[in-house]
Amino acid sequence: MNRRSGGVPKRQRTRLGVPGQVQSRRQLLAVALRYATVGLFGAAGASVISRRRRLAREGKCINDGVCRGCEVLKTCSLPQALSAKEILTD
Amino acid sequence: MIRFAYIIIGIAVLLLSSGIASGFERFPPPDFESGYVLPSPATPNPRQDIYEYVDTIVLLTALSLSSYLVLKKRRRRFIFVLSVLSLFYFGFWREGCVCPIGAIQNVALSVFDKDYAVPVAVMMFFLLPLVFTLFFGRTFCAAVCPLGGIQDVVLMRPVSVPQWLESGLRLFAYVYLAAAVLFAATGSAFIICRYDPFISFFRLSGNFNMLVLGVCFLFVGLFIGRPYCRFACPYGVILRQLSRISKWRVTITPDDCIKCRLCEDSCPFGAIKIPTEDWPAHDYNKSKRRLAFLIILLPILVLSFGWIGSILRPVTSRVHATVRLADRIYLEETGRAEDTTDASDAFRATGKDIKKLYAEALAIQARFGLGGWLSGGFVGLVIALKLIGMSLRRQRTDYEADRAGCMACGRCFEYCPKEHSKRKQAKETMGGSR
Repeated sequence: MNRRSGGVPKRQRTRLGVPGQVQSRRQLLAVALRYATVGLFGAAGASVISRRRRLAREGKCINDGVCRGCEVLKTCSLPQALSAKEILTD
Repeated sequence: MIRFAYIIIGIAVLLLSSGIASGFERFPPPDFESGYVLPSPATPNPRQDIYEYVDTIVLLTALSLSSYLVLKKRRRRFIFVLSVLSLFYFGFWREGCVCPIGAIQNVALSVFDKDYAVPVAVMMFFLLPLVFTLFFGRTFCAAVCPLGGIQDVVLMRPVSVPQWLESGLRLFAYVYLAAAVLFAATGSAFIICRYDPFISFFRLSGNFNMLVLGVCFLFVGLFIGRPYCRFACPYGVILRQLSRISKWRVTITPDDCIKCRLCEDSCPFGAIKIPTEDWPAHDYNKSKRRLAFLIILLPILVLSFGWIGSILRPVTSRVHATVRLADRIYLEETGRAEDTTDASDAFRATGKDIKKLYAEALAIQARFGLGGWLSGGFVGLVIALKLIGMSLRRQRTDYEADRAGCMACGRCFEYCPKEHSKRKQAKETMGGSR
């Protein structure tokens, strides 16, 4: 072990990244952080979708007033949506 | 020399076309007697919905291709071609919007405003490059980002930046990120979009000051590789940190490093780390003492910068329209301003209570106070960690690409003799098999 390199043996430090194998403490931490971050991103993506659904359920605008292409336009009763529907049906 | 001439001509053409484009409107705006100036559009005109999906698929394809070219194919030429294609698609065709850099603000706003929903395409643009960076390094910067692409095209005679200056200048990107998140989270402004230096080129129109800033960046970019990416890009700050823990990464040599030093000066971004020398014992003890001091200094720096951020709230909160309006109304009500503005006239016409406006402005200022603590503390933390990082020394036996700073452009591959012999071998094997 080398005390100046965080306890990582020299050979292992130059050859990291073998799939499925954890070779040092630093790499273990990196793997844990990587998958925790992936999990965080997944949760963020899911929260975006669930928030859009919640806002639509609560009758709030989810597209900053841009009705074209909005997935809840048909059922939306906000003033912008009513105007947009009026134009679209003309 | 010929390349230099092409670049200068290219910049001149872009500049001229931007000027011409900003001079012509399909429907000329009326002359406003009140002196009203039409604001520059912050986003391009709406497109058909199908483009959202097309853009996401193109982004995913470009990221996959870039990762393949960087990590498997290892050819600079292909990476550059993909970079130019991305520049034309995401830059000139899509007019730089949606971009992952600006998406930071949408995400920040959605975190702090429970009634704001980020469009799914924007979220994809924000997340996809991050996920790819977690696994393959900064392959987004390598060949997908249009802002990186336009700077890469003009890079002609790279000059190395001293490490101390590089570290110092890089702090600006962290401050910019903190400010962008603060202003987006408080619903004040999307400053990344507003101060994007290359958007005028992509849209061939826009704010003249931003056009000048873009030209300045491109001019500096002739000699200093990707100045915006290295010293200003707030998304790059996030990518740097994620790249540190990426599963796969760029290696200069495909095999064992023979320390021929040919790659030493090949990186225009200063992202090649040279092998370290033996560390003298007295130096080691000195560094240990410095490290202990910096660890004690860390909370002090965090709190100091947090405090600075909070006391700046009267200034920073003026970016918010409501605070500006309340300030203006206060000046008019107390007789310190004799004339009125369109905004103050419009507010009075609504008949709303002034006290309510003041209360709202105070509440926003309080949010800026808290945001100032957080963003200032973040900057303080970054400075402290940077100082700690500078006092740590890791032993390296080979020439390595800096995990955080490497933009995976692939220039160093071409300098490695091992790479060339590997290619030659592969060619011979292919020739033999035929």
